[in-house]
Amino acid sequence: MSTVNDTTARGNRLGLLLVGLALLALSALVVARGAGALPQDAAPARAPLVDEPMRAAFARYDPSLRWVIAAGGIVLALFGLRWLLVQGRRRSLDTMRLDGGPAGVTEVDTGGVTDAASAEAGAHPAILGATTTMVGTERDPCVRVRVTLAGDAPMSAVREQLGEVVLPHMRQALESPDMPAVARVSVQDAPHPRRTLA
Amino acid sequence: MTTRTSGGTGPVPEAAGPAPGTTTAPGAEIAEPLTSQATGAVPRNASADRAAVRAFRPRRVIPSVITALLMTALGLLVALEVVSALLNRPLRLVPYDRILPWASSTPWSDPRVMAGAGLTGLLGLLLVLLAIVPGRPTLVPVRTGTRKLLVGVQRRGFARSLARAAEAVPGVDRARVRLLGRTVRVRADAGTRDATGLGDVVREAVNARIDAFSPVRRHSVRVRLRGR
Repeated sequence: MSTVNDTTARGNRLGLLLVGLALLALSALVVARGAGALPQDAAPARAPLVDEPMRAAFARYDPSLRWVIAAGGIVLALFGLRWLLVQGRRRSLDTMRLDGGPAGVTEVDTGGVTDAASAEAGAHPAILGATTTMVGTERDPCVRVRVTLAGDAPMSAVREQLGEVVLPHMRQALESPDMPAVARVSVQDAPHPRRTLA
Repeated sequence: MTTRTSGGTGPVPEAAGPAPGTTTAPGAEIAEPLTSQATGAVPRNASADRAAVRAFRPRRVIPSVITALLMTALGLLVALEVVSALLNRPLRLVPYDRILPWASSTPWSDPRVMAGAGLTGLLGLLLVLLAIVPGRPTLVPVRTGTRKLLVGVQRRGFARSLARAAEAVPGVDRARVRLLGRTVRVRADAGTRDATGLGDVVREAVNARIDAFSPVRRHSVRVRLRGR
């Protein structure tokens, strides 16, 4: 059910947590050193930010230390780029291979299945429109549905039409009996109850 | 006149009447009247409810994009500066000539250094909070009774639907609904001078409509009635 929980959302929160913790740790170290909380013989609070031991280290390990810093910068930039690129990722699932037994495999174009599912969802009188897409992987597929519900219609229409009609048919067609679905419902504005002309 | 009344949603009543799940052809007549009284009795499933709430949590895209952009820019800057200096063609995008003397004469205990560290810590705390605080769901999760079908309703449509339920009460001219967390605030304009008890009726109508959605989380309803 990883697709239902949205891996990008979880990755975003993990990334924010790691960067936040790194900034907190950096801040705590600087404050501790500036406040004299660290051993004064090793990390004196009165020493300048760039002191002789630091200069000596750069001189001793030049240029390897600078190459290490450059590599660190490249790794940081690559992590940032990767994080940026996954924001627009849509893991749409266009085809699925079904196990056809000894005769081989059958490749199904999910577009046909989702078109049929959208039409089937929209066949309910309370549902004004529906768009169905497949996301995830062949091993972990997930259905995403956008539904427009009539303003005065009961929510049970969505639950029943999707849960009892559309999804069972999709699961049967794609041979995925546990395939989950996430539906986003927009409710169309109903006319004012007493401003409607009879 | 202004009347206020508030209260939570009651238990979800059992569904009445035949289920509308029978598929009909597009454009066919509605088999049953679609009224706000129609409710979907959904068995409570704590696991499914938690999954629905998680599915519609904010994805934290904007703070993630900002952080990722800054990480990329910082990493590139460091790499370009160091590599260009190693190749004896320093870019000097950063004014080292001014920064190095300042850093060589400024102690760690300098108030400016401590203030910078404090700001960095606050920024880190903000990012940690963004990561661990669930945040307001982007949609109102509704109960389905199963983890295999998670349904969320757009907040604006949910509020509009509640407003229409309030407007359906005789004596109410117009109603506006705002969702503040799990509190539903209804502002209704009464079309009559004597609005005694009207607030309670509006609240019951809104509660009935909320029950029809079967939201995962309970909503409390506050009604503010304005009379003529």
